[in-house]
Amino acid sequence: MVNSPATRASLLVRLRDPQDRDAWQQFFQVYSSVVYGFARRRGLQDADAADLMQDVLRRVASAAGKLDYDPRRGTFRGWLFTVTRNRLYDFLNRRQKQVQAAGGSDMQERLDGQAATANNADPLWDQEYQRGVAYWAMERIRPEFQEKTWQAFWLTAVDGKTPQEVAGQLQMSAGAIYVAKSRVLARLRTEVQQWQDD
Amino acid sequence: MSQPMPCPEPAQLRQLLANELSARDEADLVEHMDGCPACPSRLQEMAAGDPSLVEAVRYASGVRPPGESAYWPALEMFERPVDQTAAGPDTTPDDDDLALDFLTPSKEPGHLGRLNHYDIVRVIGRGGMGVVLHAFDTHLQRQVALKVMSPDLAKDETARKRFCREARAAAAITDEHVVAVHQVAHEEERDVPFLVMQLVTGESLERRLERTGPLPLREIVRIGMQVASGLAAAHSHDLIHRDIKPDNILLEAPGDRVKLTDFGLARAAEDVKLTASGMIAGTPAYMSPEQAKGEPLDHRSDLFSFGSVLYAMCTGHPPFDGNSSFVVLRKITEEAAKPVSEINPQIPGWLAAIVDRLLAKEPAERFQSAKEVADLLRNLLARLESAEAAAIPICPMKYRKRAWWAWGATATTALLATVLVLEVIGVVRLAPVGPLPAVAPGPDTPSAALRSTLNGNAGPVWSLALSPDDASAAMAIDDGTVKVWDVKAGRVKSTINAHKGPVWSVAFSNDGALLATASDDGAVKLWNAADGKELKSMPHAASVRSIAFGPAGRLVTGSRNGNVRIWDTAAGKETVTTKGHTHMVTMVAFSSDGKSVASASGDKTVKLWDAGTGQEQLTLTGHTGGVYAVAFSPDGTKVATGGWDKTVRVWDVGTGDCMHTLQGHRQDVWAVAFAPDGQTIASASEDHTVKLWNASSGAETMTLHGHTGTVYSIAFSREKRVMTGGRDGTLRLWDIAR
Repeated sequence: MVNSPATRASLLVRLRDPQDRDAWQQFFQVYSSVVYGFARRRGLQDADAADLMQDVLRRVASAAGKLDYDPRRGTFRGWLFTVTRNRLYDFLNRRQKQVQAAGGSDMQERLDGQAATANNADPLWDQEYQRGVAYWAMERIRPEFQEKTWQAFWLTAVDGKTPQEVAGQLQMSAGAIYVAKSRVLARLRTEVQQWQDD
Repeated sequence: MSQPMPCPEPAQLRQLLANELSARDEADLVEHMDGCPACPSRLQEMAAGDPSLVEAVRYASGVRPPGESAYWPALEMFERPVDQTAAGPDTTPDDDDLALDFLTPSKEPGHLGRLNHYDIVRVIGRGGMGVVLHAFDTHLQRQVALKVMSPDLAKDETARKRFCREARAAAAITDEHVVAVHQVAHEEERDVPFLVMQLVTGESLERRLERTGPLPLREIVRIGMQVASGLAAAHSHDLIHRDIKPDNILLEAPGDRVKLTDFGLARAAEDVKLTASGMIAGTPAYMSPEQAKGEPLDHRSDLFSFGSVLYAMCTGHPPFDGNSSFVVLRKITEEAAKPVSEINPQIPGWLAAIVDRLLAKEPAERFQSAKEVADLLRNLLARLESAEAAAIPICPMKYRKRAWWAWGATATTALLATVLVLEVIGVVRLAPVGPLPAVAPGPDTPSAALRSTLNGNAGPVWSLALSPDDASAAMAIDDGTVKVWDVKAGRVKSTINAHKGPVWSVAFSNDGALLATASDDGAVKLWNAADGKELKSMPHAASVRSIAFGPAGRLVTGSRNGNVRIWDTAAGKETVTTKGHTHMVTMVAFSSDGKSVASASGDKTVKLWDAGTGQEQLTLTGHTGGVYAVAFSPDGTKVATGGWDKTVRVWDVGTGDCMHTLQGHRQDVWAVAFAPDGQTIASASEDHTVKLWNASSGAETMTLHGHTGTVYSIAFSREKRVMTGGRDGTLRLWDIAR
């Protein structure tokens, strides 16, 4: 049931093969939401964030096979961030010019701030990345658990309720809920690990 | 109740997580967890490891964008297998799938419902942004098509703006080949915007291709011409369509008049609100390389997509296929499409050349405007039609099979091609090339050594020759012409309509006064290099593949039937005939002292002959396949060869020994040349590259990238420059001085 350590780095290795559809499918699923979420949190509207997401993934897909990131120089996550950041920067830059033309000065300041942060390592990116990976990992492992176990995990770990609050609803003791939650977390940890290439 | 259990050891917790305890032990531990203030946290820490996982899980449910987000259609492109095409305006949708709840009941029976004063007749299809309906305008009493924005999307301000932009964009264009947009309307109650458009009855080109496969030549040219002219109209309004594909090309019945539709992605060139490249929904098969890479676009992106559409009309499928979007995207940016005439031999060379040029990866190497292509196709169509009226066979049905030489290029159009192709030639440019980008070069990323690219030839360049003073370059072109370029000025000095078939070889005499050409039609012709006048024609029984001048106006010719002949051009007399090769002679060379000639052959050998007597001097064996290229070193002591086996070999002329076997090319080697100082050997290959080698050590010294097809010919100039020509129709000049 638990993935062997061999799968850990394998997804990123598999991405070098442009024909490996499963790997790419998984990749798109996870990274599209990361890039989109990041763009939203950096202030883009829905349609623009979707646009940016597609731009970034197209770029990654067209680089497949000769993935122009060098694992010796950095992580895949970092490389993807650079690509995303540059796109975002271009976008904000262009919007900035437009705002300049329209003369909106406090909008201008806000955008300046955004552009500057986007230039450096970005804690928002890491957060979005971890959340995206965690979310899709949860989607994948869910079928491995009984509904009740999953509910115990979801209500406490995701919805943030205490075991005591949900014990009645689940007809489980708090202790059993703790154990269920921890078992799912342990499984999730191994699933998430194959995305951590650093 | 028993004594409270002491806190478990880490090993026990581990077993609990791994589900390795007996039911009894597990029950005990679970009970302990119930009451112990510390153990639940210990267990969770052990399970999750890094606390950031717990943190990420806590917020993970916010990751999934809401259902109405533009994120989902944007993602679709990556998730959908390519063979499952996007639902275009022509597909019949599953009615259950469509939310038509913005309609009010119709007063007329048999109608789906009503939207303002429009009675809805049926659902035509659904696009990325909404649904397309066939409707009846009860005020103006006419049939129309309505494109209704999906109510979910209409809530998003950006999407809404974009939808209205489509309306404005398309409404601005009045052209018989663009679907007319009558107005932008708005349904108050549900707050749904919609477009009122001309209703086109007929089918999409996509559907047509599915039904019939490749189209007849005349239809390809006619539809192509109309698409190009619709595009020209859009471009003249500074609009880029961005999604030209057979799905968006409607053929109006009767007569199949072309109507371009779906300007949903069209953006005004100055519109900077959105990302530069535009969101694409559906199959990426018709995207341009710039789109695939997410780079900024201009109108030439549409020309690439248009090239893909022409390609699909010629072959039945888009140029870049794959089982998933990312495979297609990668091919679009990296690979050359398989030549159309290889798939459909009935496509004449001039049309293949047009498609090739539209599919150039570099926008600068394509036709530069849709109008230019529209005019060209209109002209060609007129000629096709008048030729048909006169009952002249247009499309060369006999396709010359070329045995192992089966690169399957253009079928030669004897009657029309030479005339038609002149118009394909287009604008001549001398494109300066910028510095090498910081990233590692891809397969066709130009090398820093590339100085200029001379564009505008009507098909593959089979051979090129530099005049002795380096001022002129002559190129032998597939369409039967020879072009003489002024190298410095970067323009064509003269075009000679030399032969009826492809010109295989061209050479300057050692004094630069004469130009010789050889062709499939068997004739070897001599021309005055200064004015392009024909001086002499020397008949050969078989197609001549290669010619080379020696001193005193002697010319060696190599034929398809394996013969090597030497001519005295002044007298127009054959002086030597040899018949030593069992297969086609692919290339011949004269030693600089005029004493020997060398011939490379499909029989895997290279032979050296006494130029005076025709005596065979030496046979060089070692190549494991046909030999395609041979060159003498300037001092005559060495010979370099190349061919099918991807190697370049260097031979000692004195002993016949192979001194070096140079490996590095990934495909067949089609040309070799020595630099004037004899220190460097250049080789040209089907792998699109030219490699330079140290002639003494055999070490590879440089690889020149930039050609987008097989490189067939190389010439060195005295000033450390190399000129190359090939399948992509360009002539490139490289600076190799270090």
